[in-house]
Amino acid sequence: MIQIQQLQFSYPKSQFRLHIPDLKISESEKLAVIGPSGCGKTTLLNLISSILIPDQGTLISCGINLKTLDDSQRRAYRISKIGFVFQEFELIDYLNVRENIMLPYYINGTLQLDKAVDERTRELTKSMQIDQYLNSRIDQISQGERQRVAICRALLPQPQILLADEPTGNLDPVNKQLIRDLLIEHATQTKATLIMVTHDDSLLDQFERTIDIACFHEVVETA
Amino acid sequence: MHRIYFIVALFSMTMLYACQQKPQEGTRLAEEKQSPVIVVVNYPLEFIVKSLVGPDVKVLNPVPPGSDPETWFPNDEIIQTIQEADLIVTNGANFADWVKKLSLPRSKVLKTSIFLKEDLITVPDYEVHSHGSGGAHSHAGTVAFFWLDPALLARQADAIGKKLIQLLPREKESITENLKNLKDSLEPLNLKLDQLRSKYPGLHWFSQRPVYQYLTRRADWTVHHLHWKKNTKPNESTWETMKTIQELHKVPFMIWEQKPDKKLLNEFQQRGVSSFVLNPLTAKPARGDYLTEMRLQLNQLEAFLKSGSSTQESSETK
Amino acid sequence: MNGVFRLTFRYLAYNRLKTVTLILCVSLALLLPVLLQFGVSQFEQDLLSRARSTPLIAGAKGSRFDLALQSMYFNQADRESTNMLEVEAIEETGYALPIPLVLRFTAQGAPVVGTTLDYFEFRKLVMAKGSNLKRLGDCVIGANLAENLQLSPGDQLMSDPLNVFDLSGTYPLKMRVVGVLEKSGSADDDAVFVDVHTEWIISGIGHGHQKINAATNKDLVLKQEGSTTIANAAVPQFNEVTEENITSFHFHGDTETFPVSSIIVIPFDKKSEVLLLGMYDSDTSVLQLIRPIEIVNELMEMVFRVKQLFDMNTFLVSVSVGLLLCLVFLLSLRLRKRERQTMFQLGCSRSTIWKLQLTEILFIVLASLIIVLVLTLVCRIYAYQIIKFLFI
Repeated sequence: MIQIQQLQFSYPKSQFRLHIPDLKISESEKLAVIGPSGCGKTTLLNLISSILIPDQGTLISCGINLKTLDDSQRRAYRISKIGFVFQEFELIDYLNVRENIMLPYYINGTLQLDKAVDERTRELTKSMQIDQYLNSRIDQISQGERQRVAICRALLPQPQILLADEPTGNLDPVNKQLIRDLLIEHATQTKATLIMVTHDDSLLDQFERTIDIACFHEVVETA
Repeated sequence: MHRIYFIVALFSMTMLYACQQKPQEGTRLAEEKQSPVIVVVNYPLEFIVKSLVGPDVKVLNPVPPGSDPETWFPNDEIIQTIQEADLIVTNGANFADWVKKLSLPRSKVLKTSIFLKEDLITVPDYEVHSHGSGGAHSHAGTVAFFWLDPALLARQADAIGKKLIQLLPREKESITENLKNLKDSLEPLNLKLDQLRSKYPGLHWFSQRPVYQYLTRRADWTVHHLHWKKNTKPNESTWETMKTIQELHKVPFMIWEQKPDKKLLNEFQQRGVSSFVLNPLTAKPARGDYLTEMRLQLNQLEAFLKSGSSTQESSETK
Repeated sequence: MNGVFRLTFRYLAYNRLKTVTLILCVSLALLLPVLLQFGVSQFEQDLLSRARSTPLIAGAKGSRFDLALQSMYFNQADRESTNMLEVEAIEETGYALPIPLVLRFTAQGAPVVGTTLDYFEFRKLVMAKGSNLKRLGDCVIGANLAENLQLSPGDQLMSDPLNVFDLSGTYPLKMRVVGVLEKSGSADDDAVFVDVHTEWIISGIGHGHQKINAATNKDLVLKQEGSTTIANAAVPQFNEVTEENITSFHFHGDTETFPVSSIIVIPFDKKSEVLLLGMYDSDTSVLQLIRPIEIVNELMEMVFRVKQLFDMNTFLVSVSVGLLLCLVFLLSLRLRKRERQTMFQLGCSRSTIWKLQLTEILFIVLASLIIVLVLTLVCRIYAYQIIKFLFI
């Protein structure tokens, strides 16, 4: 599904450098990414989602060499293949729950907003047990529910790869487990590849594989 | 500062009007009249206009027969007819009460007194009353009976003729011709008055109210008003006034607008005043017209004066 | 595009206070110059059209502006009056038709315009209801006045006393409303038209009262000297002209001396106009004869000078409002950086993100324009009520 070889990435004017010699993530794999802060976990997700472009090396996702894509192709790839879940949920406060979930459809002309989407939204929210909040404002629901909304938003376009960037970071222990389980469950159901960044070792047991990104992190001393 | 305030106020006002919806164009019917209508306020004017225009022109004297043209007042229907006339010939000098009390279009009103300005006679105040805060005020004015002097009537005719030519330019020739004929027909009257002046110079007359000034001025006579109201009897004060005037001037004659009753006639006779009736012709005479009636009345006047003077002479010789 | 609109409206609705404030800011910044421009152009148009349709105005010497504006708009200017003799004099020249205007009194606050029937023909005023003036005591009222006072032919309208504290002053006259004019969109819509004679009755120059008979009205007569009757102040004056008492109404003195506020002079031709202007263009003349269009042009010059100041002010206000808006949008962009980032990560193109921001601006500007348009229309429709509320 995802194939990384000799990938090198650095931010301009920064000492940070990520070097991944070889990493393969297979289809429907549930992968946990761990590592200390600032070691490049989010950078990896951004590279996989083609928000960042590797300086060197190869990154092939869903059979596409991301390095060869132009801006619009990268966007098309992101829309069709990737689902994102963020630590801070990144829900839009002026939209209600339903609209937040459907946000990708509002902002991407290529996604067709039809009855099927509506139906899927209802099913998803029901499975996440937030269907009663569809018309509620974001500030009217709890943190755990917000994250479930964010997961629904990520899952609605039926992505092949689900990227979760510390989705449990702001949650209580009960909700942490719950969210992780939901992510794994839905990824399993949709046969999506799940890559979840986490700090929390207690959540790792349900993942098929765990990689420590610190192995790939290098700090370049500048003169 | 005042001007700026004014502009602001005016701005508000014009905005007020500007901001209203403009109305639709009026649906005024400009009816073409079949024949022009000329309204007159008394008989002498009716006589002049009728003498000048042809039968195509409708001359309307709205005063019904038997009514006094000085005090008659039209009803709403007649008011509308008057207002819609093509020309309203008024006498001026406050003759006809309705002229002042009706709303008339100035553009259509011909006030004939304007053309006689320098010859108008203004009488002293003859009724004064006061009430309220206004102080004493008088009801006085110009004597209105111009036509009793045929020369003035001729000038009224001149003014009317001029206006009629403006109104009916196609009739210019006939109007001019008719005007000349009218003036010619007035000549015998002028001649008669000239004769009376030379035969009976400096006569003094009594009259009830200011009516005969133009006639007496023409004959070089003087007229004294006794100022008693129409349809009333003279009171003690009237007789007193009469006595006072008689002491100053020898006034042997009283000129009446209509024949008084016998008792009154005798009362004047007893005071040495002979009476003569001269119809001022404000209304159409029963027979004839202005010319024939004036001619007749002047002949009667001459006869009256002739008999009156011989009586006086004979009484003096006795 | 549907999604972009949805997001924009949701955002604006969610931040309604900010949205309303911005819309109001822009609206106010736009409203003032728009209303001013609209007002000035209407002002100019109406003033000019009224002035153009009034060839000449004659009146006592004094302020030319007051004379022109009083004769066209019937405002109560404190001017010297002339008299009917001057009206006759103009008529006698044979060069023009003089239409006298007597403007001294009001009725229910509306100016009472004493004139002749020629005025209606001259202004092409048409009766909507009833008839034209017929006799003393009649009045014809403008369309607005009829609407405001709910008057129609057959009703009565009382003239206002000149001074409520002047107990011995002129008595109000109860006028008979005989006609209502069609709307003309001019000062005529708010005036009460009466015959000049009626105005003189209101002025107290003429009046009607019961006949005083020294024999029967002993309580009213103070003194009887010959034909002179001196009555006391208890003689009841009629405050209404009726069919029954109209004959008792009379005027004191010579009509020619009666006051006239101004005279609209309609020359019969161009030559007559020039001759008339020449006739009154002398120091010895008691009258001044003016061309209203010249006065209005002078006034408009003054108005435009004032407007230039307003325009400058408007420009500065617009610039500052523009800068303020920029600041607000920049701050908003900064505040919504994460939102944009999220959208980008969710696959939103940068152009769509900018479209979202621009739609917001567009909406605010559009909403402001609509408000300005609506307010301008409201001002246009309800200007009468607004101005009445503000100024009267």
